[in-house]
Amino acid sequence: MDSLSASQLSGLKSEEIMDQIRQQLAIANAQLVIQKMTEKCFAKCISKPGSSLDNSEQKCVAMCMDRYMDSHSVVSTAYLNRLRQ
Amino acid sequence: MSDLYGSSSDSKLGDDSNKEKLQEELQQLTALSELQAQVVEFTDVCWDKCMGTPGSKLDSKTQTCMQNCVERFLDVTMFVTQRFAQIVEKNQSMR
Repeated sequence: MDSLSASQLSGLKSEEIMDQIRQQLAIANAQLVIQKMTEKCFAKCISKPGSSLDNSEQKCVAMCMDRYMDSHSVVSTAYLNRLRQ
Repeated sequence: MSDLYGSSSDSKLGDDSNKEKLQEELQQLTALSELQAQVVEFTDVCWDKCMGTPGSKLDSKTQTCMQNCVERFLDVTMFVTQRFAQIVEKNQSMR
């Protein structure tokens, strides 16, 4: 994206530009979710950082991630329901 | 390449007739993106309020807590916004 010049941009079809924007926004959202999920699951699962990420910690983080995604979807549904009212 | 996206999108970015449609689409994308960011923020707040030790599934108690948390957070957002506006109004009328 950085290497696109203005003249190249004006030559692109609008639909291609919109696709690029859509993609960039999706990436930004995914990064935000990953960042938050990491923070939350680190706090829940790593009470005392040891010399390696041991098996039980990995299992905890994996389960925590699943629950985070569940929570995200519950929140999303609740918010959308409220917006529709 | 043009038939890949259908003939209607054959327009170029600098095309004036297309500007309005693009602007509208961009606005929709921005709104969607803001919505998604809000969902992430609410999840953040409500996770801290509701989540104990993550188990093998999201139990119904936690789920209810999450739902209530989102609704009450929105209530508080409205309440704070309205009351703040009243405070500002009052301060201005006293001048």
